[in-house]
Amino acid sequence: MNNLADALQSDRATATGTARRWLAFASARRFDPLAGRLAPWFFAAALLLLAAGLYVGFRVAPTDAQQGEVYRIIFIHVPAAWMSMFIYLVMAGYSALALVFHTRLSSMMASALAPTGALFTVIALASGALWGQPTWGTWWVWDARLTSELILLFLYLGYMALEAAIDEPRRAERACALLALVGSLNVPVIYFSVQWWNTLHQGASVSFTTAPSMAATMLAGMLLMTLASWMYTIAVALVRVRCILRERGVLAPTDGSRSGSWAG
Amino acid sequence: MGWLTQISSGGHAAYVAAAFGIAFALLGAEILWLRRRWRAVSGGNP
Repeated sequence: MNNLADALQSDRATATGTARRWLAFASARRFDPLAGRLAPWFFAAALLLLAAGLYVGFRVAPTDAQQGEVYRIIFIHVPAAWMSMFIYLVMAGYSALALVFHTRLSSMMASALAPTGALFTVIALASGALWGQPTWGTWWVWDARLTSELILLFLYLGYMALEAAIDEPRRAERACALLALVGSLNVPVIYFSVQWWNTLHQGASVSFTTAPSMAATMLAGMLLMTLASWMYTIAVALVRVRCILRERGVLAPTDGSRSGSWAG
Repeated sequence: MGWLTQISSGGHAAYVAAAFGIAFALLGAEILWLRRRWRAVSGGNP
């Protein structure tokens, strides 16, 4: 029995130690210099992946048999649409962490991701309209996929407006966290809209359960562009959190002056 | 340059160019805006 009790105590101590090590990064003073060091690497990775994605998308991937060359909008449209949904889910995750553990850095991460998520949503909607006109003959239809993606844009804008409208940061963080959590219910609606309803928008070309219905080089170009968008989002979010930490007075403007560059 | 001629064919090159142009313009504007924000909060550090 003593051995069992010792083993349980040891496991608990190890778990507490691991949690404490992770929670240490919720400290602004630990996080800020790390973010400053990592951001340039993420920017560099984004540029390299973007170059590779554009090369594969425009030089290696073949012409589509049905749509011709206009299908190449897929290399910006799909990554942007995926990122718009993924970023909102990450925001909801950070918001849940902030509500449960009261870690202010989690709220700041959610806040830092919102503008980039909104931008990717605008890019997805705009590139979708530019793809829709030559292939469907219309810029816009009120079908379930397009409408739910538009609602996502309003959720991002609402999140940012709510944050700006409440003066007291802690109250703003709690209100925004709730909006992010409730709004995240829209993400599965966007994803499954093409299965649940009859839509003009085509079904998923890539899914977790079936083989992709496109050429391998097309898929490679799309995945490279998605990874580039992902690296870009991380880099921008890290820099934006560093700004928020100073704007809210958590860190002084001169903090981290040894690595005083915006991303370094 | 053959590939450029090929991907410009079909009469829809303007749509592809506009889609990528809008995306890069928006992301570029975000970086410029973020850079200005950083300068404002960090006391002029570049």
